[in-house]
Amino acid sequence: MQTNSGPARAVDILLVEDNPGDVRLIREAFHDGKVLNQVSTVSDGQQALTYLRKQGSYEQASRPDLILLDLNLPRKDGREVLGEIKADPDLRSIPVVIFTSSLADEDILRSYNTHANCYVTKPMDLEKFIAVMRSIEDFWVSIVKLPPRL
Amino acid sequence: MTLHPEFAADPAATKRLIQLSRVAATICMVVGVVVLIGWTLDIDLLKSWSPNLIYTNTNMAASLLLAGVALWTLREGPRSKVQSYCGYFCASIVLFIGALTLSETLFHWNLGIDQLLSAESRRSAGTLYPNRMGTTEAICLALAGCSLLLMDVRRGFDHRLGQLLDLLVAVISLSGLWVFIFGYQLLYAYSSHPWIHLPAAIGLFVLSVGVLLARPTRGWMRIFSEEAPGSLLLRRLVPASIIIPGVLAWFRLYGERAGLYGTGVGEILFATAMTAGLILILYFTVKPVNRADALRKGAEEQIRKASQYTRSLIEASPDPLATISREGKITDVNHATEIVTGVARQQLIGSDFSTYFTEPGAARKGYEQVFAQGSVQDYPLAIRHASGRITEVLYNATIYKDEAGKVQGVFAARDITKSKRAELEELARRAEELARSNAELQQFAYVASHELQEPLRMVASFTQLLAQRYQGKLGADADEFIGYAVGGARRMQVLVTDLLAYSRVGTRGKDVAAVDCEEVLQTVLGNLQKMLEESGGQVTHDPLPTIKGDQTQLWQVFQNLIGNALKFHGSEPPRVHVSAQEIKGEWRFSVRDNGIGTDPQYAERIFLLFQRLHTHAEFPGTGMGLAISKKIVERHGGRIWVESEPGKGSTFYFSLPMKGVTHANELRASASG
Repeated sequence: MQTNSGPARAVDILLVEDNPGDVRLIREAFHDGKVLNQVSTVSDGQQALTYLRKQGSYEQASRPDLILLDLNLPRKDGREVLGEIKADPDLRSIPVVIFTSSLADEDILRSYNTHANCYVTKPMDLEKFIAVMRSIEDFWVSIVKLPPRL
Repeated sequence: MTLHPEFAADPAATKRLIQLSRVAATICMVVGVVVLIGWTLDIDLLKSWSPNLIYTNTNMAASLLLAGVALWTLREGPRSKVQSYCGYFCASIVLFIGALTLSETLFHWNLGIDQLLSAESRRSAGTLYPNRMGTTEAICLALAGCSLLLMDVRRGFDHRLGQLLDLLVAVISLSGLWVFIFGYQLLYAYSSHPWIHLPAAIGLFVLSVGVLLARPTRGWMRIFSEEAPGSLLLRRLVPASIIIPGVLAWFRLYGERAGLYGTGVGEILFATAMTAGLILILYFTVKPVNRADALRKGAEEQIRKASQYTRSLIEASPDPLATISREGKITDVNHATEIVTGVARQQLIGSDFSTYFTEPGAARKGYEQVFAQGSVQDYPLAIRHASGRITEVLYNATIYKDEAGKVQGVFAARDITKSKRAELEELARRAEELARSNAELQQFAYVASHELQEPLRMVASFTQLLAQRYQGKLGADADEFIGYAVGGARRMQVLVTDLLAYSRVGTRGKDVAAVDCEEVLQTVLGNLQKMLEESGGQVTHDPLPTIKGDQTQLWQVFQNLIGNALKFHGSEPPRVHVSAQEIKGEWRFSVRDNGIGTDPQYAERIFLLFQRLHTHAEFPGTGMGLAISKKIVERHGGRIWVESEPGKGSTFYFSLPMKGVTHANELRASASG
């Protein structure tokens, strides 16, 4: 689903997801969308923060334009990661999309209270899943004006 | 109650009577002293107390003084030895004087005691022996001396011998007073001596009364001092019966002598005044007697009530209570004892207590222990019912005492509080366990279905992806297998979703609020729009009320019931009617359809979890909808049921309490759980 405006540039997406199945599904969805974007994946919260702060082996990592964050993660859970991102003046401008299977009200509320940019639940059905992924891509990559790259 | 009840002595009355006796002693002494002064100072009036009367002799006067002293000192209760000796000494002298004078008269000798205190007076000239007291007076002195000495002697008819002698003195001296009042000439004629001189008569009478009053609780006097209406009556009437006739007779004679009226009129006046006086005295005496009696009756009634109350408490006790005598015989039981033993009260009382236990030896041992230690606690025994049934009991027993503190026997009570307490504790423990396991189960169902979703999504997504990418590329078998895998995963997803919804009814409920059922119905119909179009169905409804409840959950109930009604239709397009009725304080909602209906034998089963009556091919679904609806309705304090026949449609009913949700608190509690 391409938009008329089209992406001005390739968008860097950081996917924080511990389930390789979901990683694959998300990549498949993006792949089908044929959008020019760069998806980097980390599988736990600690790695996500290391990546964002360009520490350790992620020294060469680029600053992502969008973060897709799962809530239930090993080592450091998505809620903490969100909190740290939004508390960090260098990182807080990066939009964070919570993408999780949790339907719990407290998770939704807490995420928005911690300044998540939106909260999306993973659909059970493959087709819906792909449709949702495309909507996210379409919205955040094509419609939204992202903060300028530093 | 003994067979011969005795009233206790009235302490106030006793004290008053003793005081009176001290007054009498004083009067007696004063009489003696006055006469002696008369002799000493030679004042005629003081010697005779009346003009034209013969002088009272000195020995009599001295005797009265001594008798008064004796009465004063020989008072009841603790007294010093000196007092006792002094008293008995004085009394002995009185007796001595009386006896000696009597002997002089009897044996016609002169012992010279008559002039001991004073020489012959001219006024008593003409008597054989100058200044000798009269025989009557001498007898009286001897008797009075004896009665003073016998006051504290119990032997001799329990003080009655002394009192008898004293009463003789009283009668004689009183007759002497009567002689004076009625005109002494009457008796004076028979002797050279007067019957008794006036001061002597007064002194002796007062003395004799004083002697009686000095020991108000002894012998015949006891009845005067008892705390009883009769004694009160006696205390008032006896003095009155002595004083009234005397006073009236004196007035009568006085009037006659003064020439106010003749003898006949005097007698009439005397009789009338006597009657009036007695009636007056009786009238004012009976009042306090009645009051005392009323008080006694009131007290008796109170005692009766208290005793009845105590008895009813004893009888009401569910524990068998019994009192057992020193000899091990049952003396009293309550109704519970009759029940637990199966033996009637009449047979129980008087029988050996140990025979009602399975182990009489152990029972007796426990009984002995009570006497040795004063009590036993939780003594384990088993009571054998007449029918053979055995009741395990824990006995609590104590000795019980009478008013005097004497041990009367054993009071035994079965104590079942321990076992009951244990029972209650067990119940509370189970309830807590149940609540915990319930909560755990709900939590488990919720977490399990929630956690199941993730791997299930993987299975479903990738089998679908597989189907999309490789349909027709892996052969017909592969396509079929993938088809089953996709179908299974989809059904599994629906099941997990429904299970999650079911477990959420209890764990994720919202608070109670006003819910407009019309509005809810419109929302539901909106949701079911597609179904309505596909089936050509119509949903009609009566006006629906606004009720109190959990909006989301009520919406779910309507959605499930109307959805079912639309789903299970026959060849005809579905016609559904929703209505609400007010019945006995609750709203009864009904959802009626013209669908396939259901056999009444399944009317209960269809509300159970995962119960389905049809194959997936016929009607898809998990069989969770009605189970969820039931759980929601019950959480709101209502019921859900179905009336149906195959081929004739079904009517689903559910009731909700009208005054909001009666289990509002529970609702709130489970919502926060």
